[in-house]
Amino acid sequence: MLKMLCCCGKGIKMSVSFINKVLDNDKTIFYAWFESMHTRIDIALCNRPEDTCKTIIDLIYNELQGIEKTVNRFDPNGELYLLNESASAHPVIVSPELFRIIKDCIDYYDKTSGCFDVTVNSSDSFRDGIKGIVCNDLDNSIFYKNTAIKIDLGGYAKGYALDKCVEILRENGMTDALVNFGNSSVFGLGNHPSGDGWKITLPMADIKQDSFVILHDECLSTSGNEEKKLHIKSPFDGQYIEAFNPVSVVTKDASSGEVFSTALFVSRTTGRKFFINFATIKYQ
Amino acid sequence: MKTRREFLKISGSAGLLLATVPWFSAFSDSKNTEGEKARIGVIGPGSRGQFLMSFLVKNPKVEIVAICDNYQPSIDEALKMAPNAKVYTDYRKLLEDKDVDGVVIAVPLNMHHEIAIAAFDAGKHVFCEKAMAITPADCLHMYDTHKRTGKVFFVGQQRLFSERYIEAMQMVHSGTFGEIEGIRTYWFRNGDWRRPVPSPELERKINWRLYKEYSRGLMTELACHQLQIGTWALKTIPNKIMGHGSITYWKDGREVFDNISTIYVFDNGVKMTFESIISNKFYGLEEQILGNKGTIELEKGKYFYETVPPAPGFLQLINDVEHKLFDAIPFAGTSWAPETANENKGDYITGKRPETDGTSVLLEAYAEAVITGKQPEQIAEEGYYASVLSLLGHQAIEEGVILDFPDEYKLDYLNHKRAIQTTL
Repeated sequence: MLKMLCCCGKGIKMSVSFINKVLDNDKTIFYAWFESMHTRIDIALCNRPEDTCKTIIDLIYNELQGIEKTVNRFDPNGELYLLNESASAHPVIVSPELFRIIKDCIDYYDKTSGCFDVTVNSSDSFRDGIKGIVCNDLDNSIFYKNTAIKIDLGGYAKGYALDKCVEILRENGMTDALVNFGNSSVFGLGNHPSGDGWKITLPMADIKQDSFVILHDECLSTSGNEEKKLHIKSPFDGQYIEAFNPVSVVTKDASSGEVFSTALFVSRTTGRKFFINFATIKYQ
Repeated sequence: MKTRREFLKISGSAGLLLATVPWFSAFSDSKNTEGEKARIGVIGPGSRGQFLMSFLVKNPKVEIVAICDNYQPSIDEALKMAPNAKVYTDYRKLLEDKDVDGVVIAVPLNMHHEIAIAAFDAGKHVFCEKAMAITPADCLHMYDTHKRTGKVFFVGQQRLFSERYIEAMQMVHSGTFGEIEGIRTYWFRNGDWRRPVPSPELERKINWRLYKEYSRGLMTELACHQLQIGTWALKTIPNKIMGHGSITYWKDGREVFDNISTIYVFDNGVKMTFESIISNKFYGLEEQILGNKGTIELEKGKYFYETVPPAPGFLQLINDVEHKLFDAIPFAGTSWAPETANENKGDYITGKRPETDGTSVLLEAYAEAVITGKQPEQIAEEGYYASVLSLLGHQAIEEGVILDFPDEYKLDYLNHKRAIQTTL
């Protein structure tokens, strides 16, 4: 286990696997994959030297380790765990990052008419818990008005982390890349080496043959239940939603994609309606 | 059957290929040799010799001009494939034949040295079946004679020309499987390893593999192929050799072991093992390269990752990019979670089940080299070390000692430096 935490010779984490293919026209495709944030991450980088790719992947890996530490509600040493444990007793000062994430999630609750709710997993099926969260901008503190309130960022963190990955890619001059976060969030940056954008088969393709979407600096996010495994709760009754047809959306950023795909999946089963800006969201 | 040209297309550029397989320089003049012929004499067209001939006769750049054997049934079979070949029963006469540019030697192991030396001295290029010779000293003599005469020298190590081995080595060398921690090779069969003998006095002639006068048994016939994998993967030669051998099942008068285990230790402590039992075939044959990030099984042509396997959709993407395709990539869906991951069944190195073992490309390379007279890089050295390592394994078993790689058998190759330059 110790070895897994160390860097190997060229600076890439031991738990990261990769394939580097140099093609006959001196183009390259570097593919790295690993587990992080309880899911699999796949990243394809085009036309950069192998060592550069390894450095970028290392930056991403470290960033995700940091985000996981912040947002994992099950990690007793994690920031969100500590917040959930204490915030109903007294205001807890959190990192600027966690503070911003929680505020964004509260915004999304309003934007989705309550279909996206990070307090859906509060104890005793406590409803409308998000209204009991007090954010103090003066000192970045969070206070829960009720002891039943628990924040679960599971439906948001992956999108947030994917946006961070894309930020790192852009900062490092990467123009063409494909990033997959556990299949439910896929970001296509720039272009495939042989085409415009990135052509991704839609999850519904088994129903609609040859159905695909082209991502060009866009994210494809999908929410739904995997076969018989229910995992999305309705914020309105606290019950698991027993529908299977997934919902996919294409957005400019992964965070909103994650939110809106979840919210649309929820709203479709509850009959709820909310306003979406269709200029930025393509709905399947 | 894959031709060399299709193979190059699949493997990307020739330049890229040469980094992993310097011996593919054999094909660098292949356009200029169109229409030319390598005139080949086959010495020993028995079962293995005929197998090699089956590839040679399909190559438009090869003409089998002569064959030589002292066993009529082999001559009869060979003539069916090469009806215009001159027939010799004495290899020395074949070597005097000015129409022969190069020879293919597929005789019992103990005769490789004598015939190869005579062939080099007669000005012929030499393709010798593995193992190279029956002693390390004979191997060195053959290597030095090749260098002195400047004639082309190939040893029949076909894995060096196999698509999946080459692609796997590219992955190993680029660090895809992390640090290589071990190499395990084994070859299990369940059979007596005998050929039918029409008359008792032919026993030793036909079943030469079973007698020490002619063969080193499993080490020279099987281990020789597999031990080379370690040298290729690690780009270094192991320097400590130990092992044990015995006859545990086939107690039928044979002299060579039917049950062998050997360990080769590289300078960094990594070990390569070779194991062979020929009274149980359950595990078959395999060469396994064990890295801290993954494992390759070269015979199956598969690789396996230690942690999460690569996503099939991304492997398809890489394949598409290599072939300049822009297809939709299928992987988007609902959340992946570790508990929903499938059992690790591995992936094929070339994307499909293995088809060939490299023999056809190996013989194409030899034909090219015979025509141009140019020795491809490292092919003689790889052949030399594969043979010498198997022979040293045999020596360690016979003497019951841990051997250090003897200085007198080191070439200027990889981590080895030649101790004394032999003057011939």
